Amino acid sequence: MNILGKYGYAFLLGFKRTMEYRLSFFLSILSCLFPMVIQYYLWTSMYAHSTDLMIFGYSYRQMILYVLLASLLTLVVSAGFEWEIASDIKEGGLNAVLVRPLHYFLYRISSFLGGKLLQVLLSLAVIAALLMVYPSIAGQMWQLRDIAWFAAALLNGVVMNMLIFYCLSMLAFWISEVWGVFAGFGVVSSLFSGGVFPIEVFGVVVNRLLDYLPFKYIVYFPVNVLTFRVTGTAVLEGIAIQLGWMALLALLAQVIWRIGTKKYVSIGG
Amino acid sequence: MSILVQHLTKHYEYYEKEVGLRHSLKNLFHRHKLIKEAVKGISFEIAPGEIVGFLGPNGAGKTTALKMLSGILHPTAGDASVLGFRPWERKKAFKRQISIVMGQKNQLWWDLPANESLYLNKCIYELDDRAYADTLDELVTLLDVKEQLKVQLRRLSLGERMKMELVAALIHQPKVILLDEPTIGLDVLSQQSIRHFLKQYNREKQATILLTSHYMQDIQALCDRTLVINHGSLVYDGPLTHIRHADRHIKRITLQLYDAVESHVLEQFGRLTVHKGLQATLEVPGDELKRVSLLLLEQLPVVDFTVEEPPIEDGIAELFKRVAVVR
Repeated sequence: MNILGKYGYAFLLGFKRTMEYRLSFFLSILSCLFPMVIQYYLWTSMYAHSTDLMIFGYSYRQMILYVLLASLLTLVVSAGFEWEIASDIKEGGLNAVLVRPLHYFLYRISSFLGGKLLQVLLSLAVIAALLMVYPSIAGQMWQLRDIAWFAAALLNGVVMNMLIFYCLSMLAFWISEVWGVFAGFGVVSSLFSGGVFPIEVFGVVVNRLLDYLPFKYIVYFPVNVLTFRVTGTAVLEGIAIQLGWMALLALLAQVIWRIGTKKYVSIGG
Repeated sequence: MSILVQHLTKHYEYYEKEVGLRHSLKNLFHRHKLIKEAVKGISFEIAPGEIVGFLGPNGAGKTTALKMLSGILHPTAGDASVLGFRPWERKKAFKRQISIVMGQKNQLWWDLPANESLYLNKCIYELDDRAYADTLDELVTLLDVKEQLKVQLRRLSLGERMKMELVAALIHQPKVILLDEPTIGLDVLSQQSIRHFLKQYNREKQATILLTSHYMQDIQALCDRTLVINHGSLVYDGPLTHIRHADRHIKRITLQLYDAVESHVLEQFGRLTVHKGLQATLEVPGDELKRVSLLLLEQLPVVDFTVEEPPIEDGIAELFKRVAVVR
């Protein structure tokens, strides 16, 4: 018996597939750097008048740390399987999974995460390096406990984002061309999750609204745990809210899958 | 019974759009909904170990029926039982005992060698190492693709890929195998070897096989029994060879003449289907064969004379057409 099990092996195959196309992998890593460079110059010029300036409650150094960490975490949590799922639904690849003893989402997500493994490890390594080079940047030193809270918040953020995009990708059961929806939603969710800049930028009203949405718990919250903007019981509170969202999203995904597969009609007759 | 189907029915909804931008815009707001009855209350039974051919023109409902039997589609009405399971409930125990192969669809990973995908299937079906190794070896030997196991799938030929798909579909030794056009687009040799393989596999494992194909040779070589479906209804259930008998016992007479004869003369003897120079083919009802033959030999300049039954394709085409007219 293979100790990895079917999902473990699907994960491994996802990883192997990435390795088949190494150039593409390195290029994709490289392309992730550009937004960070742009962000760096953008904020540097905004703070140019005075380094004492506070914008949206962030000092220059805090802002740079935020946008760099947020870009890296966005990479870690990012989905990307929604295209695969939609084309499985549209073009009938789903059939091959439905007839085998296989949980569709676990299968897709396993192979996806396998393909993402290197990118995640690389991002985490960069975060670790950033923290080691500037240990004082956030104002205080990290204890093991802080890192553990951050890891928990990040992991929950990953699960939440995967579930959100899973639900979204199943729109393909009802809409046959979902690419526009994906692209649009991707932009909105990355903005609202705080993946581009801190959500304070949006002002009080939008922030009130974002309190009731899952997005800010995906990137904004884990970054703030790491930079000590959220501390003490607020961390526990945030993680509890994450868990609540995860349960809700998992339930929603289950329901959409039920209704969707019932309706599912693969092409051809 | 291995497969039991009762009044199985499937309706699809679809939309109609006329050509032109104006209609496209109109379509945005209002769509005229239409219903296609892909399968209309078919019933049949298949015993364990049988190989049954599923014939019908394009769009007759064959694939839809197979999809319902494999659990991919929910029927609109009716019921089916495969190995005692209702397929669309998708029970794990059911999935472990069946397999479906669709000619144009891939279950193997495109960017990796086939043995990686096959090993994934080993994990999925929880096969133990020994059973997996033995079955794999047996299958790749039978299909002669052992050498290609380590080659990235995208680099294989269509035929090799189809064979790999078959290996992947049979690695867990299913008791019921549904095949949708397993030989589509393949050259004659590959077709033959897949046919050969299926026959042997069926004999050795006593697996029940239901297959669709547009190649009559597939059906002729493999199936003792054929189901013909047209416009969603079952129109024939029996041995393939009986289809032509159903067609009013037509006999085909081919004549080689030593002197030219005009068409209208030949037409007096039966239905003239071919008339090229000194060669002519006539079709006559079986019970008139003797009388017509005597007259032909007596009245025409005949050198050579052969009688045969029309090819099965003709009988089937006739069957397809006739149902269309009745409809």
